[in-house]
Amino acid sequence: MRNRRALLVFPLAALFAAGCLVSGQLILVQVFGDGESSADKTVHRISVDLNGNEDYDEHKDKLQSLEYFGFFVTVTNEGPGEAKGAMYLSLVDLGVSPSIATIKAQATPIIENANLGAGETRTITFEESQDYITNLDAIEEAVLEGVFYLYGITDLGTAVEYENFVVVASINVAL
Amino acid sequence: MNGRWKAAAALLLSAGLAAPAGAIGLAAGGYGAYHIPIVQDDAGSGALYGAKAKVGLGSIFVLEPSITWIAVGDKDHTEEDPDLEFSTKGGSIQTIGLNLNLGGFPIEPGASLYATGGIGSYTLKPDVSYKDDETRVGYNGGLGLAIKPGALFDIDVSGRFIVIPLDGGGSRKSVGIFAGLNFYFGA
Repeated sequence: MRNRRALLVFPLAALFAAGCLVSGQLILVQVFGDGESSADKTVHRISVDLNGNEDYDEHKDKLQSLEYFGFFVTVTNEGPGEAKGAMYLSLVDLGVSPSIATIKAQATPIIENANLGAGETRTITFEESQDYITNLDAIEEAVLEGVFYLYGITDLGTAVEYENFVVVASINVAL
Repeated sequence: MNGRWKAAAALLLSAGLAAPAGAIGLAAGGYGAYHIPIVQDDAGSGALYGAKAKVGLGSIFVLEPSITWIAVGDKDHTEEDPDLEFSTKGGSIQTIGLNLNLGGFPIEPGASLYATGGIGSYTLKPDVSYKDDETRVGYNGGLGLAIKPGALFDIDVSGRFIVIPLDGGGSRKSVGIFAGLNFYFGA
């Protein structure tokens, strides 16, 4: 009889020893649309506020960490030559028309090296976006904060437009 | 022989060399089957395979060192807008673990139900460039059945709940369904 009890108690004890059974990974999808361009179109700002997203609001007080991040976006390179798209993240609003130098000094690059042909408009899918993401720690801080600002530019400082921006995030949440 | 099989061979050899003086037997073998994530929106089911040794201690206790490779499946997501369909990559997990089993080492031909619990090193290998591999201590527990039709080998089937605590809090949880063969040395 004692051995039979042990058969049940032993695996259960192993499970509860972990102490973190009530958590999971939640996929959050939020559409942010087009954002705003600076007057000379060299900077494109997208204001991100995850508050209002049903899943985010439901688990807001139980967010633990960011596992994966990605996005959909349609980018138009309005410059005369090939360029590489980049996006910077700031927890504070730098305004609609900060200089590129200001963005590089005060914000963190989170998307780099998205090749754009001259005059090209193309949509970067979630799967493709995985190749361009960098600085996941900064993204995690921003996603857990809920409100942040993204600044889209090109490496050449030429005119660019970012439209139909959609965030996809996998977040660890306590349930 | 690639690195994985060398590691498996080293594990089995070391288990044999390290068998305590009170050991009543040693078995070793391989297994494969299925890994099912639980409460993980970003991971799908996938295959797993590995190798383990079983060191029988007395009539009940069995030490079980193992090495396992888990292919975490990709997970497809659909949204109301069909342009927003996407797939998250599961990556893989490599584990080296040690379990203590109660039962599961039949001396004579027959069947032996066993309970198991263990600890291991779980290396999470995400299939994305912006995230590094992460090695965490994880736990598992479950029930199994070893069926020994003759003196030489058993057929070992088990289901194990796996919990891998994460650095930022929370954990990754899954169920592993294991099935394999173990050969008994000195039988």
